[in-house]
Amino acid sequence: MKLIRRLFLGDRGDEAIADARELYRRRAAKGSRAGARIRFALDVLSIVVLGLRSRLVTGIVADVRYAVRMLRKAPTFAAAAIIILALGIGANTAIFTVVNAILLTPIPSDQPGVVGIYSREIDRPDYRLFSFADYQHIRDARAPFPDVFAYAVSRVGITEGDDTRRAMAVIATSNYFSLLGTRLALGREFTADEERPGSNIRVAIASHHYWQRRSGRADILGVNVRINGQDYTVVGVAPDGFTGTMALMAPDFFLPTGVYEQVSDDLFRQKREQRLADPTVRTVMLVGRLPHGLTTEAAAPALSALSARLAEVDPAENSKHTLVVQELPRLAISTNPATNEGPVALSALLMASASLVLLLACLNLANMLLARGSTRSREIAVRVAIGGGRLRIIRQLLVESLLLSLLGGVAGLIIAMGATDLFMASARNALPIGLVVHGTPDYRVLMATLVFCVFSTVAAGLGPAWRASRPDLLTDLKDHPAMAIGLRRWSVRNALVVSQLAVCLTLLVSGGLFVRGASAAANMDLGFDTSAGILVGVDPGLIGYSELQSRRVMGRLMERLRRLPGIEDASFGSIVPFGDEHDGRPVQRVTSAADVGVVGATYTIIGARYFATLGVPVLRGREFSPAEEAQQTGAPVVVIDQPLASELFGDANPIGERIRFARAENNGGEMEVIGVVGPVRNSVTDVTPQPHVYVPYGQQFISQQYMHLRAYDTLRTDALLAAVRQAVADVDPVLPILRVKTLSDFRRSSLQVWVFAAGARIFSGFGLVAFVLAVVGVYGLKAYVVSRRTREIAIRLALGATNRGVLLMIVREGIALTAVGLVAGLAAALGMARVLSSLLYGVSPTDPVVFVGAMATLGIAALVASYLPARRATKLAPAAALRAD
Amino acid sequence: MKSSPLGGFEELILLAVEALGNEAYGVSVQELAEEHAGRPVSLGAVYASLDRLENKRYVKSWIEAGGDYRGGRSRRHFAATAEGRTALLEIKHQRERMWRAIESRRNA
Repeated sequence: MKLIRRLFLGDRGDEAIADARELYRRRAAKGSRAGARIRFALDVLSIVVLGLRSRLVTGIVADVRYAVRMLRKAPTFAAAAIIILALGIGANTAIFTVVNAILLTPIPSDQPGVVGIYSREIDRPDYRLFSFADYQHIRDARAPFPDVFAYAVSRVGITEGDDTRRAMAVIATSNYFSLLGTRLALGREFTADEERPGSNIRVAIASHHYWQRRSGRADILGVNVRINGQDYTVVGVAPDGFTGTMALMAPDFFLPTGVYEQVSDDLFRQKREQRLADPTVRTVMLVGRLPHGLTTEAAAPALSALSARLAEVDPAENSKHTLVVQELPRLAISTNPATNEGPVALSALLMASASLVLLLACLNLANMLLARGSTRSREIAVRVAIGGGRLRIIRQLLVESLLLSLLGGVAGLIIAMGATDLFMASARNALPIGLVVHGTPDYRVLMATLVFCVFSTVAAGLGPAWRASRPDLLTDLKDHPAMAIGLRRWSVRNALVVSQLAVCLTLLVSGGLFVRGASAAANMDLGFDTSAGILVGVDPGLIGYSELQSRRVMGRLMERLRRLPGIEDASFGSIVPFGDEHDGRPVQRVTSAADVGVVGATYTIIGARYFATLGVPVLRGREFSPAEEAQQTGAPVVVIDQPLASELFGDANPIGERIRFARAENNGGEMEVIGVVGPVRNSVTDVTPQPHVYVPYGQQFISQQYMHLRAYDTLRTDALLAAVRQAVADVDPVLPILRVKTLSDFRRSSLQVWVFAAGARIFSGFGLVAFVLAVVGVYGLKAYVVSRRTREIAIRLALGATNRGVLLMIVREGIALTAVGLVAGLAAALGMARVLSSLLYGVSPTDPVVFVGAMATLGIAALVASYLPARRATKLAPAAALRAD
Repeated sequence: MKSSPLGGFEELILLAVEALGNEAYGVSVQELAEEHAGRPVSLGAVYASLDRLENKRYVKSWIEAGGDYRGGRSRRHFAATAEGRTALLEIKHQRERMWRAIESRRNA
């Protein structure tokens, strides 16, 4: 009770209350009693509140001054503590910055009511894109969406000077920006004329980052940009940080739907001649805004009414489909509704791992603070003896810890900013589109850093402050407190070190598993030969070539490249195996049976001698001939791979059989299988290779092609790159070359490999920091313990114990500690590995190499850390040790 | 000699302490301050200011027995220190200089 009175009223609380009573008496005598009572209550309240605040403020100011003085007296301790905290807090801030950008920073599609509209088959969860006519009907209906926009995403070629590079563009209707609640930084939005399909009015709105790179001045309006070989006038600039419907990734340009046919790329369409105005052409996605207050559930009846209307208007196209709405996912653009589950789960995992690092740092710091508390026990005992309250002392010690945490937080913030910059730079190299991330931390990141600091203060500082403020006066005021080490203090510190070892092992194991996974990804057997390959990517469509012109150019290119000295073979394909692009078609046998299975297969348009060039074995039948590459010769033909053959035909010989693409227009023409080739892996997650189907260039057309060249000599591939580039330029000087690389380089820099490598780097970074912290923790504990026992050791030596005996005694304790730590860590690591197992490909979550390696490394390091201080202690001459202290 | 800055309310309290001379204690300071401030002044605010003034060494305090409290209990007395008086005078001079500037502008 007395403590509470003191806490709230301060030392002069009793006097103040007495004065309040006196005032009450005087006021009651002079005026109304009720009024006097009210004022008495207010006075007491003010005494408590203002008194508390005043004392707290002056108290804390005094505490801060004292803390600064104490820390300056122990600079190495302070430096070590700050570094440890900086590592722990920095790791968390870095991860949080990325998580913030991915999940938390508000993006335009976060606004209430903004939803994605999807078209779903009534009896199946299959989705498809919309036609522009659909969009117009939905928009004109005005219910349930007062506003809707249509958009598509495409890769376009931007020519600056002599170079053409590929960039991402969004093709949208004129209300794109207004629906997303965004005002342009400069200029204007598209007009109704510009959005009309087929109007071909070539205008563009530039992204902010493009504008900054290009000029950054208002004179950008009216400037022409060469997109896909034609000039577009810039009429507007998007605001800074605008990323459209996704987080983090921003297109370079926004184009009106009127120019759709000029800029849409082939990966999402079948034929170049398709027109957006055609109601059978389905290529756009829709985003609508529900009116204020209308939830997606409440909108359901209006939605089904709308679906019915659409079915009425165009039964052939729409009777089997219904409309579905869902909030837009932050990191995807797709035909199907998607959620944020993936990014959320990944973010949670990363933040949890980073928290482990911070926990480790706090355990370390707690140990250091405990040790320091012991060494300051005399100072604290004096303060207690002259009457300082225990709470006051705890408060002061916490202020010290908070000061260290804040300094560590500032250092950690700087480290984190550097780390995220590096990470983003590496990501920009690997990703095909622009990343938009704030350079300086926004308030969320700063608040999070503050939270980490406070967490560290409490986690690391509270326990030691509590313990330190409860001194045993008698022993602590003595000159030689060395003898007073109770067994209890040890076990707390030992427990802390054991926990550190356990946490460290968990992080080391995670790091090791990811590293192995990344190396497995980088070294997978892909089914084709990357050792002597050269890859050249071209896309004649980017400079406006028609199909005829493209075919001609490809023919001339192939002829030239096949004759190039040093090149054994050459071919081309529409996508690169194990590349980042995917195109799939559903394939089925042609039979009279009613129920025919459909297999989804990766679809590639290829030239002649494709498999020979890539080193994929032809198991049955033959490759496409040069004639079939140039044009369609007779009935359509197709080549399938072994996995597809097994799924469609079992063990039977597929040569001569017929297959077709299911659900294509007029259910696709029939094709005769003329060859079966070996399996190829397209992605790291293809543990068993997925099926592939190949058609010849003469039969189907896609503008973008990747040419594969096989060199005779694997060592000279780099030297050949220049010759290849020259050859392409000779054939057609303005043809944009998307990339020229050796195939092994391409494989190394693929996005998937990058993702796994990034994961490996992050987790092994955590592991490394954890390792350093844990080893330092063990060393620190042992050094401290040994220093406290110097007298005891000296006495033992003087009484005849051998150096060796003393060493063994101390190291024995270290071994026990390490063993317990490793066992506890093993259990935790196995649990962690199980959590991570869904992210690990090509490596088992109980991989013995990683576990044994991590345990051995940590164990040996911990033992060495125990041994070193012990060794130093035995070197002291006993007499000196006895005297010192 | 540079002194710690004095807030408006603190100045009021310090003036009251100085004005009360030997009779400056919690209750009397509160009553005088409220009379001259023209608005209610809470006891807690008075005590907090006296605390801060003491920390800045503008005021000293001691316990004295006797007085007109009921029962003649001992009370804490306050008095301005030399530094406190100097600080008050500095503020007074500052204000006077400002007003002279205002006057001369008006007359000009």
